[in-house]
Amino acid sequence: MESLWKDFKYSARMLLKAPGNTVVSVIALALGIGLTTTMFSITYGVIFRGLPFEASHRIMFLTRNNPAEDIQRMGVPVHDFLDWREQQTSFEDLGGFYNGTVNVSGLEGRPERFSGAFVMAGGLDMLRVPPLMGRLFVEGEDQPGSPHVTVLGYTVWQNHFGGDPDVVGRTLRVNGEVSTVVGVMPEGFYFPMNEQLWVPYRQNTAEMERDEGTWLGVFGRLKDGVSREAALAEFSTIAQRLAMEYPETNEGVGATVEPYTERFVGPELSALLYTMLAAVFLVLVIACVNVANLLLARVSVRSKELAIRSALGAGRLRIVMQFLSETFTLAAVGAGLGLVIAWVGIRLFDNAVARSEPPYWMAFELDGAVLVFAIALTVVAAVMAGILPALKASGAKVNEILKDESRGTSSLRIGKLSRSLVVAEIALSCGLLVAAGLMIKSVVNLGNLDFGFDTEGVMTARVGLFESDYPDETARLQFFEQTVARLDAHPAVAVASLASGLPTTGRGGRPHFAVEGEIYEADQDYPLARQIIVTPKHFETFGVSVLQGRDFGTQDTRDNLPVALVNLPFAEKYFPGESPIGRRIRVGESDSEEPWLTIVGVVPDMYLDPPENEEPEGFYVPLSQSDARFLSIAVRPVGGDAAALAPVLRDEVMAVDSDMPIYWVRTVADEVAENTWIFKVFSTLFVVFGAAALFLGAVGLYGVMAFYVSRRTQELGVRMALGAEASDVLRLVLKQGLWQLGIGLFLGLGIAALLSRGLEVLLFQVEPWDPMMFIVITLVLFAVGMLATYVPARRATLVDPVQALRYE
Amino acid sequence: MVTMNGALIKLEDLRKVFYTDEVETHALAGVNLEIREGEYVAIAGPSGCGKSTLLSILGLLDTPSDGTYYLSGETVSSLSRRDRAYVRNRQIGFIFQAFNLIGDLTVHENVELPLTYRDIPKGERQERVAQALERVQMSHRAKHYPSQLSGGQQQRVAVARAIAGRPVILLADEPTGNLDSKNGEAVMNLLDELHREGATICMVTHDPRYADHADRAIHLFDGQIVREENGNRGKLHELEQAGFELKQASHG
Repeated sequence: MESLWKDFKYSARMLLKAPGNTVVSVIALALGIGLTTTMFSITYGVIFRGLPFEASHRIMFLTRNNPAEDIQRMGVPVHDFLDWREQQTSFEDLGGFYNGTVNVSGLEGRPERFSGAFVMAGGLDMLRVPPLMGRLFVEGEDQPGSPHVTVLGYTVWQNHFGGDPDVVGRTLRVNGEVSTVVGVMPEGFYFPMNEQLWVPYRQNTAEMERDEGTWLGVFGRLKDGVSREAALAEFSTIAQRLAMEYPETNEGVGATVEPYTERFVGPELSALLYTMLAAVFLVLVIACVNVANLLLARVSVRSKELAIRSALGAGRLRIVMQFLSETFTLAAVGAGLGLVIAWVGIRLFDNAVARSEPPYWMAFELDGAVLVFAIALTVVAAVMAGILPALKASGAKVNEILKDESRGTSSLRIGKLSRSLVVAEIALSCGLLVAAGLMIKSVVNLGNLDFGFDTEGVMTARVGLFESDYPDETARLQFFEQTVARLDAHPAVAVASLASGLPTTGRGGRPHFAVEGEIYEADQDYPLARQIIVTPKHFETFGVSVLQGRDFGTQDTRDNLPVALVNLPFAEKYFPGESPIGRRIRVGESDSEEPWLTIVGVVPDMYLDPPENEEPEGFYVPLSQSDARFLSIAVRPVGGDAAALAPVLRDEVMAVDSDMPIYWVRTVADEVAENTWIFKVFSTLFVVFGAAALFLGAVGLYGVMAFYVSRRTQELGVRMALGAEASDVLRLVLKQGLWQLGIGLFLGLGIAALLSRGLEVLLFQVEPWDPMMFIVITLVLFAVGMLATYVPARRATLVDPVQALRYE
Repeated sequence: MVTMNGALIKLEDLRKVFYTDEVETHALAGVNLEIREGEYVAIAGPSGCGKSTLLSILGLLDTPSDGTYYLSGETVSSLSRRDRAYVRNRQIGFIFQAFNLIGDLTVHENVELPLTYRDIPKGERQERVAQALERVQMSHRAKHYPSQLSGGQQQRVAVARAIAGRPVILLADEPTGNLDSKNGEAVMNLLDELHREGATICMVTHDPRYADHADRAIHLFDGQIVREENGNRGKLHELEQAGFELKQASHG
């Protein structure tokens, strides 16, 4: 113990003796540890943190699939759910829910819209989270006809009921019905995703068809001793049984069982996060390589000291420990700084993703688990950086060093190892920089993307109508038509319209459809396209002109010819080389009872889905010939700032229905930003990683070449004494650097190819093997590498042979 | 090749001053010296007397502060760095106390090194290296690295490197300083042989025994030549010149 303490004291002294090296090493390790910890915190938050419940790893999410049609993760119709629940034995119980908008009035001030969950009674109990006050739902409360009840979330209780201790028993209007508060959930509970309050799922299931009703999210807690695989086997059997019994609806339908949180991550995001984690770990490896190299330089300078220690009886282990204590000291200081970097990085990431409302358990913070990781990482870094120099130092043959030092030749062949490490650094930097470059290009593409519509001058908001308040189509249509007419007439509004889905949001249906005259062999052969319900002037609101034919108008009523507009990608794909005007399409498959829609116009592509979507085909139908409960309002101001229209939207909607809240009040620009933030966040991360890698790589190359020159001062002096000119020396040193650069870049391009493959999902209009990017990054690295080599090489030519020959 | 009066090297009032922290050190304070072609000169004197400085200037590794240096009849005291490198490479062969072989190069590559700084075709280079190694009886070790050789062997390789370029003069700086007496004697014998074959040698030594190998010993003190005397070999030469029968001298 005492010797260990001595080692650390001696290390501190040695590190202070070489402050330049020490500072570079600490910065390198701080960058490596800080960035890796940041990325770990992100990955941990998304993938590993899990639900904050007792034994939450046993909570599974169940979905249906249809392998034959390549459909994964379908929701579960209520009849399937009820059959599953009745027949299964693997889970303690099954819970079913769907989430949606819950409008609450009877609160102070305006009606409010919350995101809520409609749950089967009994489901929430399984989570083993007791309510803060009152109770959860009981059996029977999900039956139609029973009194309406509500469980409040902690935030709603605090913000809208002032934390009233007597809130249980109070009544409110929830989605138009009078409802009693029966419980309040504890702070931090937002199950299933980000829900603020809970109401029972109330459907008269007995009267519903087998495939009718909203599909449910299904979860369950595995019984003790039952594995996920066993549960999956049981559910596959149940699914087969249902398929035999109800071939009409269940043929080919299977079941999947996966950990609850995995359902919300998906393989693409997981792959991306792991790629990022691997990428940033490479930065740490580069940092360690730098430190190892700097230490190797010192090993050779200190070879005599080590030889003397050894000659005096220090064992190999002692010498290894001596070196490791130095890297542990460095890593500890680096980790301190690294945690500051991580803290900032995690905060920035958390702020950036907050707007996309990730599931509530995905918290990004520097907590215990992340700290434990950072400490483990520090130990790994210390060993990674120290082990090679330590082994090298302890393995050197004592006799030879003592003999050789005075002879002017060096048998401590550190050169090769050091050079290989630099090759590794260059390769890693190259890989990361190509990835960063692809990401930057992707973001630039996105920034320069011409959406083809006005993203700045349009204000939007969403409204949702409930069955209880608006029981039939006519009532709903009346509400919407009144609202849009009032807005249109408002003096501050130039034009107003409604749409079921706004550009870039991917909202709106995506049904199968048929083109008249085409023959489809099976139902799954019917093509898919985005279907958007709009009112007239939708295109005008967004500053878009109809390319061909006409916009919807007042003539397109329920009694007249059913019509549709198609976007340009749709027209080009399904009516190549001809005009689609007058042609007909129909929603649904072979058994469709929908009317044929006559195409009356073609409009430009307005990015109905986020921009990376590769299936932009879509068609529009008029609200006056269809039915919708949730629509987005879009208004364009007469002049000035679109965002200033928010109160106008709220007031005009309330003028039509005083209980009707509006939500998602934002400009189209915000909407677009929200649907593209992920590119920006991840590209920023990659740019930071790449820049760190470039910095570390350049410092590493410079360090090694500088060391090479200083180690070889004597040799260079000898060469000059023998007649080498400055140019010969320059060439010699540059050649050495060039070799390392060349091999490093060659390997680096391989790493880049692998990394960019992992990034494919994030690339927007950029090929993962974009040749320009590979060439540009190679050239940049080459230039930086040559500069890092040239400076010491230039210094080498200034070696004074007389001095050099005295150099020992 | 030589000056009018037959001197290969001629130094006229050569001075070298070093300045460190405002202290002026006169390492050489007016040295006048001639070395004739084929001569073997030893420069002797205590530590700090200016021997190494004089050798550095003779080897064009350093420049004098004042005075003139003629090599093969040309003034070389004020050449550019680049020209000095050129002359050094073609006219001067160095033998160092610490051998100064390059550890990462083989014996063969070390000997070849000075030749690679000239435009000599590869075939000729190989031939010259082979001859030089043959001359010092190190051909069998051509593929070894310096660290695999004894001190005496390393110095023989250094001698081979010095003669491979066929210089007009060999400059040796304490060539036996790092060797035991047996190996030291062997290297001295090698230099004697080279001298007999016609090489011009200028050797720095502080050991009077080795100074005796030379034709002429020049004693430096405080940067000036204080005494010049003929060595044993010089005495024999004098006898030869006097027309006496000479029996082969043998040195143990």
